[in-house]
Amino acid sequence: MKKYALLTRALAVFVCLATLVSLLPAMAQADARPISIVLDGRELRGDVAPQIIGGRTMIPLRLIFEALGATVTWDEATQTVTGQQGNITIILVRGSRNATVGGRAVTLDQPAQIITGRTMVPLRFVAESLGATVEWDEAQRTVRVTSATQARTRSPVTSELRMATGGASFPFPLYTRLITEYAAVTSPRVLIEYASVGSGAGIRGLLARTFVFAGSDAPLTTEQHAQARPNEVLHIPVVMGAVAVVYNLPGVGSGLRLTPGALADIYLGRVTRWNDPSIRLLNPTLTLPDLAITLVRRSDSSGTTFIFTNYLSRVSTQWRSDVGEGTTVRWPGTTIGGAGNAGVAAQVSQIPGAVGYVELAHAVRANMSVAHMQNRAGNFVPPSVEATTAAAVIMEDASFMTHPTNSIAHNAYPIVGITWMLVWRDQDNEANARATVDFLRWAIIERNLEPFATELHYAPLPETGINRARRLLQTITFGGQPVWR
Amino acid sequence: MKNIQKRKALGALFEVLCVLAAGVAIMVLALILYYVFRRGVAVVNFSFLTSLPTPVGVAGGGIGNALIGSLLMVGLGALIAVPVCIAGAIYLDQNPASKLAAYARFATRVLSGIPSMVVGLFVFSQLVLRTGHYSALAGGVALSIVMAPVITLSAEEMLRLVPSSQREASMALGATKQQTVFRLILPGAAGGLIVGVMLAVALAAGQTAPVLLTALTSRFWLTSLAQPTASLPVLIYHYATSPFADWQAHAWGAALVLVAVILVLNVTAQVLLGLINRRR
Repeated sequence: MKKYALLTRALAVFVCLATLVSLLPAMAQADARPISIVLDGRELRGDVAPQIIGGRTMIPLRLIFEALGATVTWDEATQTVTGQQGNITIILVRGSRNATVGGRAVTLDQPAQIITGRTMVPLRFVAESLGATVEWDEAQRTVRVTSATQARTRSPVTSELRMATGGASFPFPLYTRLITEYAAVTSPRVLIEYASVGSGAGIRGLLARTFVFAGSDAPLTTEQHAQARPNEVLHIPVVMGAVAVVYNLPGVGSGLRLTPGALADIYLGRVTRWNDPSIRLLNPTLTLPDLAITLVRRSDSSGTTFIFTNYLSRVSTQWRSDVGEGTTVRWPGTTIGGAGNAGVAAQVSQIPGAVGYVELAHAVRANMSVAHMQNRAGNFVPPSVEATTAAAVIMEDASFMTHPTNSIAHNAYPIVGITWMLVWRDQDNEANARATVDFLRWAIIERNLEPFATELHYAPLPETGINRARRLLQTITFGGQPVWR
Repeated sequence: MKNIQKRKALGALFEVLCVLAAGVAIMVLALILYYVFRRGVAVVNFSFLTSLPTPVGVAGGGIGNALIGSLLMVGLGALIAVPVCIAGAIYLDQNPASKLAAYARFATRVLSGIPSMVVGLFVFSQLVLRTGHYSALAGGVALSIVMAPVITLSAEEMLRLVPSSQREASMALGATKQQTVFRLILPGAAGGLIVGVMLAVALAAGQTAPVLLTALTSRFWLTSLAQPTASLPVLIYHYATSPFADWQAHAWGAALVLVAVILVLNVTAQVLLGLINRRR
């Protein structure tokens, strides 16, 4: 044993010495090599190089504050630096070790100080106060700062993943936005392809498993549900949309008032002229021209037609018995077809006396006159994002399987629909499952879609709808295990 | 005498009518080109051609991935279709009366009458459903089927234009069938063959349905042939039907690029052909 102890000690000394010797050149060089600072993968450079003082990296104050999105003010009289980002305020006094972060006093190792004419502040203190994380890479002599926004990076999958999806054209502009934003916050990236091929093709793609998930404005039919068994297709509500009743009446702008009965009579062909007493009575202040009403409808199979006829079926018994609801229907009156929302909008814009129905975004972008529809509470409501969300506020959970047309909410617009993401309950591919659940969670539950949605005239779901979506997402499984973590 | 005058008058009348008809056809083309140019030219620039599409409301953005996707899939289609179809046309030309030739000719004519949507569905069911994913490869295969009848039928016509006196002369000089085909008939018909291929390429480049069904679309750069792939017609289709002015403008720009690419390909082919002919 003793013999070995000596050997071990000798070995230990040797190892220590060797380490020291190998480190010496690096340590000698250490001060000579400049420090670089990398924020979210991009190098930060100022006019004064960062320096290490007493083991702390000091950096020009404006450089770090502004790179992290904070505003800086300098008070010469009190020698005070105030940085503000969102609701975080950092106060540093030049030459003092006492600082304040969000009203809380903090003691610093190194005070803010002037070096070559610039006020330098401790990097780690400022960055961490603003929610960023800081790492020191000795080999590269690099400080890596990851900002709070970047730190929100998600990694649902272990290697870059592409998913083919598609379906409804109504939410396509929103989905392209979400897809781009989501690809930017995932690492490794999740690249989702969404083809605007229509709800019907979306459902077929999902059932054939060429689409990982599908967008649809129409719920599955009973036969399609049967086809999916023993698995199940979940209808996860994403956003809502309004269908605007648009018209072309020379001299009359937006705001023509229509009751459900009047709209049904117009589309049933029972009211054929704009100056019909029934319309005049609703609009005493408007001078309605003596013009024939030209009915415009969608010529293609469409979720918009489904929502529109679903509404008419709910408010008119005659419509329900004679025409019914569907993505295409047998129109009772003489109608002119237009392909797509753009087609209907174009027909209505060209024909004086025409009336049609298009998604709100199309009506707004084409600057068309929209009717104010009377809702169930008796109020005349223009189509808007807020009035659309209002339609679903008081909905029960299970009702998110149908379009909330003719809502009883007093401030609701009555012709509104939900657009769903259709997702298999039991997933067959783990990476796809994780990415799907994470994407929908990010978009709907964490409400990242909301700013984009309202900008594009889609109505975000009310709280009830988001809860419904969360519960559905939590039931998604892969190999019998829930995917939601 | 009177009869001759009447005939002359009638002849003149028909000539005028023919010129008018030709004028109308040219005018329609000119109007389309003018309109596409006028609407599209404002958005086309270098970054439009080289950047990824952006979502609505995000400035910039372009058609880079769709341009690459279209060129790639049309190229793939041509790569598959051209050798097979030219070889088929040579067979038809060499054995015009055989039973197989009759069947092949009939099948090709039928194929040329099948809507491209059906071709797309066929490739979708055979490739996409079986492999489980959309791909540039499937898009190329679909386009090759769209191109096939155009190339075959035009190639057969062009080969037939090589005079039989020359063929007989070649044979009489002791050339084998192979030598006759490769050194006389194919070079002689090269111009016509290229025109046929260019027609097919132009037709394929503008297809929406077969590509959408097989390659789907993409908002990202292509990294392999087995991925969903963007293409110009699908991008135009998606953008033109949207309510947003910036996307509609991009649709016009993409349409202009599509027309320009086909034009450039055609002109290049003609110029190359001219060079080859002058050398000989």
